[in-house]
Amino acid sequence: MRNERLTRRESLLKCSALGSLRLVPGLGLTQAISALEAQERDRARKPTPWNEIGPFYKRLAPNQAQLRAPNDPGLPLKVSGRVFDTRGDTLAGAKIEIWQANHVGLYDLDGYRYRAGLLAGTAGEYSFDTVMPGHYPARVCQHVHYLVTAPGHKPLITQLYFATDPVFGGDPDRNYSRDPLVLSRELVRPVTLSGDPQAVQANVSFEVVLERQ
Amino acid sequence: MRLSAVGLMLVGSLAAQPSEVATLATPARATSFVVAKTGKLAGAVCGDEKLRLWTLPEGRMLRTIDLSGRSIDSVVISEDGGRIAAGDHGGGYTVWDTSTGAQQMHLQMPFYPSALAFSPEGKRLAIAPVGEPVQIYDPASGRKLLELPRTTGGSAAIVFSRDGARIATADADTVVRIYDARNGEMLARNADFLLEPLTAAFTSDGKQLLAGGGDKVIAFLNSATGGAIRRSGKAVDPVAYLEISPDGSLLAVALMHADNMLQPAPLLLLETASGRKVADWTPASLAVGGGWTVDGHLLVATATDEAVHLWRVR
Repeated sequence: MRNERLTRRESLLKCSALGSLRLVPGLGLTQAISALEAQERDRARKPTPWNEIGPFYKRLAPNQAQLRAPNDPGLPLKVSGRVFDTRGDTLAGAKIEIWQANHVGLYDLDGYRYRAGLLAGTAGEYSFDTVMPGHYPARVCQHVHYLVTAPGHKPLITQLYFATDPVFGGDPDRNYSRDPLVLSRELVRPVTLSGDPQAVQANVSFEVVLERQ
Repeated sequence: MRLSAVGLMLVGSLAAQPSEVATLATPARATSFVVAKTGKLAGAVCGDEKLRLWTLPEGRMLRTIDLSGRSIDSVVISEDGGRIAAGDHGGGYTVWDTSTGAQQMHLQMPFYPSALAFSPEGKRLAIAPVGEPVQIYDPASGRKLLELPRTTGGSAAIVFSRDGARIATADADTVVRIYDARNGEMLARNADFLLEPLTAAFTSDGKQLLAGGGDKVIAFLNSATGGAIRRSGKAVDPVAYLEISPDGSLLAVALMHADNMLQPAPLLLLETASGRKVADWTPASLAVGGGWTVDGHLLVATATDEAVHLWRVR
């Protein structure tokens, strides 16, 4: 018995042959399949690059999007994004575990400050309010750790970096590898400042794409 | 057999201060150091991209191996000192014969190492590429013998039991796992840690596995079931490295300053059976490696720009 995976084209041809894909009069099969394939290609996304987990992951972090307490020092930071699979479908309910250092680069090992286990919303969206992490002494760059999981998908461990990090000297394209653990430029995200001069906030968008298992 | 390059120090309230037993000249600062369990051979990766080997106790330079510009993340030496292995940041893994300096094995993998370990007889090399499953190789032929099951985030530490029959991993998903080293079957696991375990050590009789990490405690696990037998009190900092003395009576515990891994942190000596602290030290500078030798000495290395300073702590 043949047990090979069909290509997308073969799969669509089979659907047509078995009647589960029907065409309106005037639309040719080859033309329709090509159009479908093109549309799917356009939606497809590259998986988010992997980055190492580091030594301070802690399980059972609370589902809390507000990590920054009212009087916490440091630059307020809002990180938001969506979780997709490589086909471009959003992954509602994906679990996004994040952990980071505080504004002076210290991790909380005894509690859960600046740690969260979030669940993506119905459109795959997530966000959290925190502070810009400081520079941990044994690392070069400011960063936020991610562990993202969703049923049927490979777990993703990665880190978010900030284009404004002084380490990059204003040119992350050229300088991202100054931190030997930053293996991909893609993980260095632009920062948008908002608010007023008395209350500036940094905003970063970080979309996450998981591979299917 | 090595003490983590991150975090071992000799300070403080030592009953008898450690003595410097060798000064090994290096033209550039050593970043990591290993000593064979025989106590007769030591090696250091130096900042000039050279791997240097010395005979002990005389401290005579045996040879220098050019690392060809590779940045070494992890280095281990076999217990008999016959082989030394290193993994670099470009994902290259190399084994050399220390008696000739000849390269015995070279592998290229996608990722740099988070841990390496030789089996006690030195005929197997376990490699944990960061984030990837542990793989076990025959260092003489480069043949892959076994791959352990994939776990989320990979393994921070690998250790063989004294008889070489089992292998334990301290894994990034916070689980400690024990496998049959012949076929990779998982025999036991412990999921009590909240933070990542960073180190593990079998007792001499293999009945217990000790593990520690970000939780700042040492868990004494039944190695047959994975269940916790007892846990130490909480230390001030994460447990970065554990190694049991050859006679099994003492446990060397290297802590790691969580707020700055580059700062020296205490080394504790505990009675394995009771957990009673025998001594603690903090060296003046970050320790770069070391370990127990068969004659019951605990050697620890610190480094300056000019030399490796080797201290006998016990």
